[in-house]
Order: sequence, then structure tokens, then C-alpha cells
Amino acid sequence: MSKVDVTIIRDLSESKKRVMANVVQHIEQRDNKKRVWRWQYSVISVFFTACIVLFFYTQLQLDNKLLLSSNDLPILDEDEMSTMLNAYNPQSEQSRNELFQTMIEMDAYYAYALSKGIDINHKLEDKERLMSKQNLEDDHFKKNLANLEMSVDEYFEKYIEPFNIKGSARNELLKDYQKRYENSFPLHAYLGVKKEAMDYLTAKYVDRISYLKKKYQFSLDPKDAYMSGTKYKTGYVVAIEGDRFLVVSGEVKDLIGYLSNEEIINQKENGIWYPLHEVKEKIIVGNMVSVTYSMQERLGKYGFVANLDEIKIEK
Amino acid sequence: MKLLEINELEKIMEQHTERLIRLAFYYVRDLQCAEDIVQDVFIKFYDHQQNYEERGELRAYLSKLVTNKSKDYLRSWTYRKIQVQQKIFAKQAVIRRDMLVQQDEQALIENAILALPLKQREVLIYFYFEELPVAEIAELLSIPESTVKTRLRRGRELLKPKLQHIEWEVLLHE
Repeated sequence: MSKVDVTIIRDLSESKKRVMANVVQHIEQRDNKKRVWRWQYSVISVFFTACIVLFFYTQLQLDNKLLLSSNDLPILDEDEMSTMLNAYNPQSEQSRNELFQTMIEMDAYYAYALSKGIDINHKLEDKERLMSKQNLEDDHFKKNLANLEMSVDEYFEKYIEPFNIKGSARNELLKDYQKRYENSFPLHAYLGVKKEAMDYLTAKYVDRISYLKKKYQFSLDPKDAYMSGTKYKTGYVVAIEGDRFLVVSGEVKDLIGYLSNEEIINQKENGIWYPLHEVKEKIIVGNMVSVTYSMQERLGKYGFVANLDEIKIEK
Repeated sequence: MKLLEINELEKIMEQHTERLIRLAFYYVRDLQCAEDIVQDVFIKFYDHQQNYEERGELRAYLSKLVTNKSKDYLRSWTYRKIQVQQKIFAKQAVIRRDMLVQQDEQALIENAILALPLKQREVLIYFYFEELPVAEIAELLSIPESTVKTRLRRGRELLKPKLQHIEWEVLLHE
């Protein structure tokens, strides 16, 4: 039996309100942005020219695989990227970007964990694998592999097992993160580790990443990948603790300090916890903020945990 | 056609949103994802209004958009990644065991349908929950009517052992 419970779709009035508000806000904000962005086309064309120069420069430097040391797995590997693309054959630009972003992300965990001196297990047990051979049991996928003249076993050994090892690097990083932020929500721990690892990789391998982006016409902006599901919220910063901050909409200023966070969320029937890392120096309790966010997960009856895409301090 | 204003879009959303979220949920089995799918569908609908020919079939048109988007999602890397994510987070999550005890029979039936493979699941959803006739399901999913009937029959067969203790009239009449 599935672990899903359908009783959560009995009353969809709150979901409906959220979806309707997000759609209207998305269309209105986008229309406003369009007016502001037109002058920037010329800047973008200069940027692309710079990319083309960078492309020829980096091509001269990328004959060999990028190995972090002689025994390690390759990262940012063209062969892996082109095989994965052919094997999964994503149809839309969004899906292609998403595949690219996932591969870069996994490489980031691996490179970052090694840089921190974390010992990574290269011989995994079944239970430690993020993806098993069963995950590849898909007729469409097998057909793509056949076109590459590759069996599922070969593909698994050459590409998925390294992916699993990089996944185990992420698990080690998560453990390390949770030592620093003991009460972190799983989504925030994941986002925190991802940010640290991606900051490391994008700073250290900027040329290689630019080259791959250019060669495959990929984007590293999460908004260009599939299902960004952008949402909006305006409210007050009610609490800042550990690696997160809480935003609640409505008249809450007088309640801060008098009621607990949970009591405020329940009284106002809303409240979202966002990751703090990007905005630690910018916000204080009591600020009114407008937030663009994604990836939300429910926490209790009225609360959510979410990713933070953008924040604007209103006052 | 005349392009919609936002307030007209709001009227359409007022009418269809809950049904579409439910439909997306039956595919992706996750409420947040279902909300995201419906949100994206309405934005796409607003942006590409010229693709919709107004013939009083808006309900079917939106359903088709949601169905396609849900299937895209199930094939996507996000879905594979979320499955991987859930594997990691499963160790940390608190399991709400009391939930199962509180389920009513209708919920048990729907949960059993949600656990079916996609091919059987979608035709059962359209037939019993959306109450569409076989011909319309065939058109919506772009498959022959005979395939719809075969999948309905196979779906009911798969449900029977799971719902032995429940008197769901659909299975009683089999």
C-alpha cells in the first residue's frame, strides 16, 4: 500500500487560496519586471560575447578528465554529462537544465566533502545506495541505453554507482551540518549543505562550469529548471533561530515576545520557516518582508518549511 | 479570441482549482507538487490563451494540461531526485502511525487506487472520481476505448485483494 494519505485532499480550500494568490502575484510581478528589464538586453549581449571568448579559452584547457586526486571519481565530466543526456533524453529545456543542475550538485557534494577531509565510502552496501538497478527498470530508458549500445549493468557500474558514492558524500556532509545545527529541519539541512557545496564548486571550477554551460546550453539558475513552483509571501520576521527564520503574515508585531512561535502561527493560521544563511546580516526580528520562495513542506496544521529564493525588506 | 483579464482568470480559477489540484494529486501523490502543477498550468493557460479554442470545453482542456504536466513531472529528474531525497529524510521523519487508524473506507479505497500502477490508476480516477465516460477518457488520454476498458478491468482486479474487507459497490458488481 502506498504511504500517501488521501484525507489531505478532502479540504482543499487553503490550497486553492494559495494557488490563486500565487498565480495572480506571479503574473503581476512578471509584468512589472518586464518593463524594468528591457534596458538590460544590451548588457546581456556583452555578457554573451564574454562567454564566447571564455569558451575558446577553456576548450584549450579541457583535454583531460578533472580528477581531484588519482583515486577519486571524475567531476564535471563531459563524457558522463553527454551519456546521461542521451540516456535520459530530457525533452524540454527545463528538464535538461534540471538534469544538468542535479549532476553539478552531486559533483559539488563530492568535491566539497573531499576538500573538508571527509572520508567517503567507495564500496557501498545496497541500503546506502540512492539509486538501485530497479530505478532503471523503465522501457523507455532501456531503449535509450540500447541506442548507446550499453546494458543496464554497464550503465549502473559506470555512471550510477559514482552517483551513489557522491550521494554518500552528501550524507556525510549532512551529518556534519546537523552537528552544527542540531534542530535543523531536514529541508533546511539539505539546502544548507547544497549551498555550501555549490559555493565551493562554483568558486573553484568557474571556468569548467562556464565551459559546460556554454557547450550544452545549460543554465545553473534553479528558476530555469523544471517545476520551480514560485510562491510569494509578505509578513513580519517573527523569529530568527539556528539556521532559519520565521515569517508570519497579519498583525503580529504586538505578539512577538509574548506568544511562542507556535502560538503565533496557530493564532494567525500561517507561518513559514526559511533558511537564514543568505540573509543573516540583512534581517532582524520585526522586519516586514516580501519573500519569493519554493519547495515548501508542511509543518503542523498551519506552518510550512520552505526554500528562500528572494527577499525584500519592506520596513 | 479576446484575451482574458486577470479578474476573468480568477473566476476560472475559482471554479476549477480544487478539482484540478485533486486530479494532479492522484497522479503525483504529493499535495505541494499538485499545487505547483496547477499553478504552472494556470500561468501557462494565461500566457498561451490563443491555443485554447473556446467551445465550452474548458474543463476538459484544463484537465488535459494538468494530466500532461503531471506525467511530465513523474518522468522528470525532480521526481527521481525527490524520491532520493525522501530516502535520506525517511530516517529523520516522524511516522504518523495514528493516521491509518483514522482512515474511513472511502480513504482506504482512494489510497488503494493511488497505490496502483499509473496506467490503471489514471483510468480508474477518471471513471470513478471524475465520472467521465469511457469515450471521453479515451480522448483525454489519446488511447483507444478498448484499452480504457482493459485497464479498468485490470485495475479492478488489482484492487480486489487489497479491499477484501470493504464493500465498495464497484467491486461487488464485478
